[in-house]
Amino acid sequence: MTNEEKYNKAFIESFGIEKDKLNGLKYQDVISWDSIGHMQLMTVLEDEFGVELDIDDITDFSSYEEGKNILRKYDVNLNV
Amino acid sequence: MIDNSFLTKPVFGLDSTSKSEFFIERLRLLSLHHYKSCNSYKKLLDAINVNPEEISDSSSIPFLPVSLFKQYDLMSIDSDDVIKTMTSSGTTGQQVSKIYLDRNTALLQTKALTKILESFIGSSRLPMIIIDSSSVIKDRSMFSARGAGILGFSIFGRDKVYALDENMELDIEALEFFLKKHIGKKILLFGFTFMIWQHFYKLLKENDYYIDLSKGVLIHGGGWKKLENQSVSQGKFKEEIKAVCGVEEIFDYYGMVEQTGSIYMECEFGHLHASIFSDVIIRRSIDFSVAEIGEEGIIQVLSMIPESYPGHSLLTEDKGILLGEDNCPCQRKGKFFKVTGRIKNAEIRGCSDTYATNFN
Amino acid sequence: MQKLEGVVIPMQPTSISIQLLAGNENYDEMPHLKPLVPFDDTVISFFDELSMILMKHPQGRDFPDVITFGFFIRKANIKRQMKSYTCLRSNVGRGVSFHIAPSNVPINFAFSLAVGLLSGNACIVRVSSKSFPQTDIVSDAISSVLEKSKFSDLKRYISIVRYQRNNEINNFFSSLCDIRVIWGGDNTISELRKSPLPPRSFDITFADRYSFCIIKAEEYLDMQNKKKIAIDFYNDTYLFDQNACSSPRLIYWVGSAKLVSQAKEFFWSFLHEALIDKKYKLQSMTAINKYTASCQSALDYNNVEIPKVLDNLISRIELKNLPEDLPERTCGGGSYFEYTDDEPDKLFDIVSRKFQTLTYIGYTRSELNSLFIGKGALGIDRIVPCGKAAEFSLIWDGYDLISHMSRVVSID
Repeated sequence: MTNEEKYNKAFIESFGIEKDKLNGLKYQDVISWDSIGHMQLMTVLEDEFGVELDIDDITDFSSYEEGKNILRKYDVNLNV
Repeated sequence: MIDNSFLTKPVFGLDSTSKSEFFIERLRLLSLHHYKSCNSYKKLLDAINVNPEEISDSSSIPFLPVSLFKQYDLMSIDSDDVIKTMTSSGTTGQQVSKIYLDRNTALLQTKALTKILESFIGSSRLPMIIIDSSSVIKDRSMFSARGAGILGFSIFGRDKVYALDENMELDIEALEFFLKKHIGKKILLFGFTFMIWQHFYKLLKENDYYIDLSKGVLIHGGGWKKLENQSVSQGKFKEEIKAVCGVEEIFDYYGMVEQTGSIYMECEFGHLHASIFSDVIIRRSIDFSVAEIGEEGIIQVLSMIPESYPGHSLLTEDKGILLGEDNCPCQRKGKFFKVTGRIKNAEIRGCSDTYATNFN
Repeated sequence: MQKLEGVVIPMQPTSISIQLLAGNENYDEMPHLKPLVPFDDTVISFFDELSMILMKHPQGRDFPDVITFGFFIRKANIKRQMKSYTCLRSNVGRGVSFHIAPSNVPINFAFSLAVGLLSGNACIVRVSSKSFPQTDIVSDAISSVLEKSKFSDLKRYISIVRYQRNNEINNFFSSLCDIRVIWGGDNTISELRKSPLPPRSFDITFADRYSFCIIKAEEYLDMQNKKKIAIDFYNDTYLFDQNACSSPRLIYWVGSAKLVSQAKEFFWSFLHEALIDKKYKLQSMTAINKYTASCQSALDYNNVEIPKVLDNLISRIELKNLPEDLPERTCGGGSYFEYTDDEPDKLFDIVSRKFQTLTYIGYTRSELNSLFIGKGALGIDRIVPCGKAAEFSLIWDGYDLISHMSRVVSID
């Protein structure tokens, strides 16, 4: 699986949403992306990519797009 | 929205002169914002004849009594923009405070909390033991003060375990497994003061159980009233916890659901500190004038965070004493104080039996 | 179960203890006692002896309410009260009266006992479960008077009791009585009404009431004794933390804006001085509650003004109109609504069944007579000068208690 696919899968499975919802998706846009859902997503992404995210990065991870920028800081390359 | 650059300033690094410049201005702007966006707030300020444009010092910022949030839905946003409603804890039948958050204010709260905590425990995320049961965050749409606190602090947890099961019993197995997994590492423990005493400490002691948390740091809040009723002082609490699991770094904090995020943490000298995001004023009950350092009075809390609801200046129902400003031996700048207890209900004379409702 | 003339009476509950403070412990015999005539000689004599003990009591200075009661029940006053009752010749007590005193007015139980006995009834009086020195002083005095042999029979007619609120005991006493006198407000009334009464028995209830004060600004400004008026107002209000049913919560100012404004300055200033003189203690939570009440009014009504005051002893809320729900707001501890008008008529827009006492400053009795009596207002039971709001009377809350609590025997 490519990084891109792993990334999308994390969102789709954590929030129970379809792929077409991903672009432009922001924190709290769907009910399942609340604070708890957020923690779950972070955990899944950390496991998938073997990284440990900083607190500030977790706080700033506010959208599907922003998340990609953040992961790049951890040398995880994703298509923007 | 209003300028958020205060988020980058050192959390306990500014003395009163440096802080007051932008603090007062931000609070003035918040007052103005709420005046324009919250009709109830406007009515209140008009009634007491305060023009938010003219606010020029902290003590002249009007304060709302916290109980107003129980009776009224106070918000400065459209109800469509509410992403989270926080409620205070209360017994059934009691009204609870309702705090309405939009995305922005929720984010500001989280940022403030993380900045404050980072200054105490560093910025790396730690394995975390939550001294509560996972059922406390069952209802994801409405968080009680306990749920909100746990979630807020969870951001610091890399790997989390809940110490209690659904029956509020100690889940020793889960704890043992967790500790083995993270042996030798610094562990973060979080919970509410009374929960920790009643469901963690007591159960460990009763079962004569010792778990090694000597590398742990415990952060707890929620008030001392229940423990006072059991004659457990703050000193005794720390001693006993250390005796039963070795934790030496223990920090109390003072906070409330009406002003989440901008909490007041206890320093190594036992003083509660106002961060860059908040301030505290002690008021005399006879006339609400500002009390002197060392004089007990009613605690008023101010916070730069609340934008979605007019909670930036509140009169609590707690008593406290201002101990000093900028000169705590712990080297942190800003005001520091202690909470001396809840203000007790008024003993009233008169014909009407107000407690007949508690008959059953 | 005992059966008394076809009525089943539950046995006295033994699970909760009933503490007897004075009088008769044999509650079951009370329904069988011969009712007395109103203003019975032995009763008057009993109260007179009780009065003498209380008026000379060493702790009298500390408890002015005890002295006030003692003064009320003295023979001369009872005889004077009797004069208003010329039509009682064929009246007799109904039997047993069961009184539930309010929890926070220590001396009220004694007044209730007085009306019960003076109307010819045996009395079971439940005092507050809260302990007050005044209650002890008066019940001890009652006990000692009842020791005298001439009162040995009267002793059977009196029971002063204390017990933690309890349905079973309420049921028991309610089943014994002909009249149930309930003080303490709406909540207590609904609690007691859960206990059934025998078919011919009834309740006399003292529900939550609302009281207010009317001040004619122009007259007030000319008064020379503003200091005394302030003390009178204090006695109506702060003496009971503004929580007596007769304590004014609303002040209706009559006059032009200019005159009223001047009058207010004097009035509140003199009242503040009186509070300082009397060293009135304001509790912290009361200060917060009053501030909260002011905020609530500002939110619930329009154009409310909360004027700046010296300190939290007096809280003022100025209204531009009189809302109907005003009687729901009973903050207490010195929180006053104010309304100004050229004329008094706006009062009638809100006077309801809840309105009890109107105190007045700057008016004459006849002015108020023409203003209020016969207007068909659903409320206002008494109109008295400022200072007399809490003065107890045998006619209270709109009830002529002596007539109400005795029964008429007609013989053709």
